Amino acid sequence: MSNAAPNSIYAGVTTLVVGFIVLPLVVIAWSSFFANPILTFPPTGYTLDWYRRAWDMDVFREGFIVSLETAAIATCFSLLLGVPASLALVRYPFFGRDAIQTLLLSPMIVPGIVGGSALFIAFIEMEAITDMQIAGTLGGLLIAHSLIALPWTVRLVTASLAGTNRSIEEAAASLGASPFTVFRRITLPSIRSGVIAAALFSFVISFIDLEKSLFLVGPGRTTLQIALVNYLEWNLDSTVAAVATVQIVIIGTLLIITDRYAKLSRVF
Amino acid sequence: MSDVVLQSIVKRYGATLAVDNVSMTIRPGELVALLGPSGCGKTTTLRMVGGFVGVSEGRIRVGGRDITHLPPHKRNMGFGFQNYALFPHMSVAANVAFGLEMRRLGKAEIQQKVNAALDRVRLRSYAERLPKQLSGGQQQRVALARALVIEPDVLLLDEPLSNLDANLRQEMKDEIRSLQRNLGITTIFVTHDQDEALSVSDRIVVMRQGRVEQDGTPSEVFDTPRSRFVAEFMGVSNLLPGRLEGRDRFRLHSGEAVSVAANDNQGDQMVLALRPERIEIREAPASGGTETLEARIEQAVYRGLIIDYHIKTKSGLALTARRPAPAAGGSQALDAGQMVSLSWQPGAAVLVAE
Ligand SMILES: Nc1ncnc2c1ncn2[C@@H]1O[C@H](COP(=O)(O)OP(=O)(O)OP(=O)(O)O)[C@@H](O)[C@H]1O
Ligand SMILES: [Mg+2]
Repeated sequence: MSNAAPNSIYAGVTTLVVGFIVLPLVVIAWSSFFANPILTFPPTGYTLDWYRRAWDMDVFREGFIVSLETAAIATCFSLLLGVPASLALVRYPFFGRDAIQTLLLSPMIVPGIVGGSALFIAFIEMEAITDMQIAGTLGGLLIAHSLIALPWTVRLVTASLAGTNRSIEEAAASLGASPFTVFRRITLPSIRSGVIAAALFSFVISFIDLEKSLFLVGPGRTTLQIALVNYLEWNLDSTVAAVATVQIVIIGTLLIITDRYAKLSRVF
Repeated sequence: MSDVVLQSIVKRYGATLAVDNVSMTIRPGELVALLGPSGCGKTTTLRMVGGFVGVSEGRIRVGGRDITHLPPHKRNMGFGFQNYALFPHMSVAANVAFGLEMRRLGKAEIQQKVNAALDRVRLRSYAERLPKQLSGGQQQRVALARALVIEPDVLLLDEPLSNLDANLRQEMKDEIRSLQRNLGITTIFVTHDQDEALSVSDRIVVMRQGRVEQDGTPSEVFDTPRSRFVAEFMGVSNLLPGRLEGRDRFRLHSGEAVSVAANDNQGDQMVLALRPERIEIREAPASGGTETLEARIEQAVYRGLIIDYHIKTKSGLALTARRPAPAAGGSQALDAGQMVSLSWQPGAAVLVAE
C-alpha cells in the first residue's frame, strides 16, 4: 500500500487553503497597477501613478507616519512592561500569578471593537474626573496600542524564558554578578530572539490595528488604517490598492524576519 | 583558604523538611564529599552554602564571617553545576573572563589570568570556541576553570561528574582532585556515588533524609559504618541481625554465634555488617574450628574479575561472598551445590545499629 493518495489529498487541501489566503493579496497587488481611473476589471493598461498619488495625499502620508510612530512607541512601551512582567510570571511564584497571566493575555481574546469602545468610555470617564484630555490625543492612542501589543510580547517572551536555563544565571551570580548585571549580561542575551520577535510582532500588531484606534484618534492624527477606511467610504480607485500593497510588503517582511527569531507557529 | 562551618542548618519547603538540623565543619583546604541517596538534601545543603536557597534556621560561616544572609554574588564562591551552566552566548575565554570582569580587573590582567586558567585545564587552544562546540568533558573543564579563576574562598560542586561517561569520569575526578590539592581550596563535593566519594575526598559526610548520618574519613566510613544505612550505602551486602552476648560474641537471629571485635556498643537489636570480599571460603568441610559456618553454594555469578557466590548456611542464613575469578588470580571457581565452610577475621565484621 502506498500512501500517495492521502498525501496528494493533504497537498491539495493545503494548496486550496493557502490559495484562498493569498489570492486576495495577489489581486490587490495586481490591481494597484491598473490604469483604470475607477477600479474595474479587466485592466486597460498598467501604471505606477497610484503609488505616487497615495504618497501625495496628506491623509495617507500622514496616516502612514502616525501609524509608524504609534507602532514604534507602543512597541517600546510593550517591551518595557512586557519583559519585566514575563520575568515575574515565569520566575516568581506569587499570589494571583495565574489571574495576572490571564489578564495580561486578555486583550488578545476580547474583540478589538469591544476593547476599543471600553477604552474610549474609560478615557471619557477619566477626562471627566481629571479635566485632562485623553481620548483623541496621542497619549490615549499610545495607551491603546501598548495594550494591543502587550499580550503578544508577554506570550513570546514567557515562551523564550521558559526555555532558558536557570543555572546559568546562578553561575553568573556566583561569579560576582549583581542581579541587574545577571539580567543584562546573561538573561537578556539568552531571550534575545524572543524579545526581537516580540518587538517586531508588537510593531505589526499595532500597525495593522483598526478597531481599537477607531474611537481614539484625534483630528489630524489618523492612523493609516483609519485613513483607508475613510477614503474607501467615498472613493473606489486603485489608490487604496497601492496603499494596501505597501502595507502587505512591510508586514510580510516583518513577519518573515520575526519568524527567523521565534518560530511563530510554535509559540501560538 | 577558609573554613566553612554549618551550624544547625534547617531548610523547610512548606511542610517538607529538606534539610533537618545539619552541622558540619569543613577545614581550610579540605575536600568534603556530601554523600547520600536521591532526595536526602545534598543539593539543598550545597545551594544554601552557595546562597541560592535561603536558610530556614541555623547559620553558615566562612572564615569566621557569618554569610547566612549574604546574596550569592557577594560570597566569593565557585559553583560547579551538574549541567556545567556555561554561558551559551559567550566564547570559552569570555566565560572564564566573566568573573574577573565582575571584579573589575584590568584587560591585560584578565587576559593573563584567563590564559593561565585555560592552560591549567589544557584548553588554551579552545579559547575562541562556543560552549556548544565542546564535548561534555571539555565543557566541564571550562566550568571548572571559570569557577577557579576568581580564586574563590570555597568551591562547591554538585554532582560534577554525573553527566560524563565512565572513562571521562575517572579522568575528571583525578583532575578535580589535583586542581583542588594544588590550589588548596576548601571544597564541598556532592555525589550519590560511594566510589567517587571514597576516591576523591578527605572526608565524607553521609546524609539521610536531611540529616547527617555519619561524618568521617573515607576509611572510617568504609570500614566502620555507624549504622545499617551507611553500611548498605557503602556496599556491604551481608547484614545479619542478632544481639550481643557479652562484649565479643554475637548471636545471629538464625542461631549461629560468631565472635566479633570487642565492642562496647550495646543494644538489643544490632546488625553484623560483613563485606562479601571479607568472607573466606574453604572448599573442605569445616575442620572443627569454632569460627566457621558450614554452607552450600547456591549460585555463582560471574562478574569478570570477580565471582559472587550466593551461599546458604545450614540454618538457612543467606550470604554473599566474593572471590577473585581464577583468571584474575583467584583460586578455582566453585560450583553451585558444593559444600563449603565460611570464616572471617573477627575485625572484618562490624556491628552497627539497626
Ligand atoms: N524547591 C523545592 N520545593 C520543594 N521541595 C524541594 C525543593 N527542592 C528540593 N525539595 C525537596 O527537598 C528534598 C531534598 O532535595 P535535594 O535536591 O537537596 O536532594 P538531593 O540529595 O540533591 O537529591 P539528588 O541526588 O536526587 O539530587 C527532596 O525531598 C526534594 O523533594
Ligand atoms: Mg541533587
